[in-house]
Amino acid sequence: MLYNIAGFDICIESEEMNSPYFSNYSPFRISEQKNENVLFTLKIRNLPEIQEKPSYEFELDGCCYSIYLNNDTCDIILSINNSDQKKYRLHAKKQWSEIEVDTTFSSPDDFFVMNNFIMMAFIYSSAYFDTVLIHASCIKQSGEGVAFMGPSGIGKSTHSQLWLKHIPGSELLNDDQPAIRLFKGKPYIFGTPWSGKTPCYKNDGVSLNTIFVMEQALQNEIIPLSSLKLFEQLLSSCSLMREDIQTFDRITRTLSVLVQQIKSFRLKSFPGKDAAELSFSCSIGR
Amino acid sequence: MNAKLKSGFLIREVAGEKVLLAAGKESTNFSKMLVLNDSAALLVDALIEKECALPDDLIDILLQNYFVDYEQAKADVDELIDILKKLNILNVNE
Repeated sequence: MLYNIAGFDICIESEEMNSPYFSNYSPFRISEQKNENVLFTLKIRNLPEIQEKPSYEFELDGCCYSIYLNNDTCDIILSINNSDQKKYRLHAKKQWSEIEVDTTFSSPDDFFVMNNFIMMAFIYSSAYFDTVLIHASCIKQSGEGVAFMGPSGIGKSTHSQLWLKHIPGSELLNDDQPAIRLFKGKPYIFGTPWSGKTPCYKNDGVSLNTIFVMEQALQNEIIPLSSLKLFEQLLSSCSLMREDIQTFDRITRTLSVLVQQIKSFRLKSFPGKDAAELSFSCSIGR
Repeated sequence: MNAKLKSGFLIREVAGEKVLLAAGKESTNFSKMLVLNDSAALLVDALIEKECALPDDLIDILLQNYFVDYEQAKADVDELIDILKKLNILNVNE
């Protein structure tokens, strides 16, 4: 099955993609290829056990990951904590353009892991083509985009909701993991099939106008952010395996171009109409 | 004493500044971004590329690239080595 995400064609060879568990991918479905090449092809396969030791291991959001990095391949073994210790495996080669996943589709966990693997495949394959997935909520307004960044619970989604309520013509583009892609050095922001708890899966992309780094405060205030500070923020909020030197190199390259091209502010905000109008007046409403 | 920077470090130019960043599993404890001036970047770059004899190789690099006398070059190199040691990002071969 073919999908187009952030302008990239991807191919997932599994009938299970029709499952209601994968309805987040439906808006991205295409019937024929739009680009000359697909970004990656993902196939379901039985994969043999790995004998070697992992390059490193970590835990994230209730899952255990073992990563095996070799010259031109990456293997990921994932198991979910507090479950039956079932192990899922992803095998990526040729700069993440060919992906194999060993899984069944019998439990909700299986679909959860597959969704996770597709997202990782997208992150690491698109990294080679000037694209990053960032942790942000983003709004489309007058054909342009603004992104609200910051740690979980700081009020990114809340601020987006304020725009929807108080700034006419606003539309939520994505609430958790939008993609930023550079076209000829200019940044664009795209909806993706991954939007956290908010079911907002938009196959749409617009020129990125401004990035706001959110901070909670009693009074609204807006402070210009230096390119270097923005770089630091983006690096900490974009999804990547720091240990994978190749993708780290690509992603930091993309970010260093991005920060030169984009306006950014620290937004100290007290949730309300005033906060939304302030961020609007500094970005699209200027 | 010979030394090389731990694996995974790279210097990236961000907004006109040279910034030392860490990838790689040897260096993930280093989450800071270190902004380097031009001469420090030159020296750190050498330590990323290959194992250097300290402090002599680095002093040579400064003498070849800048109009400084030996004493000044040695003082600058010693200061940098001290910082890198404190950050624990050097692999030292005594």
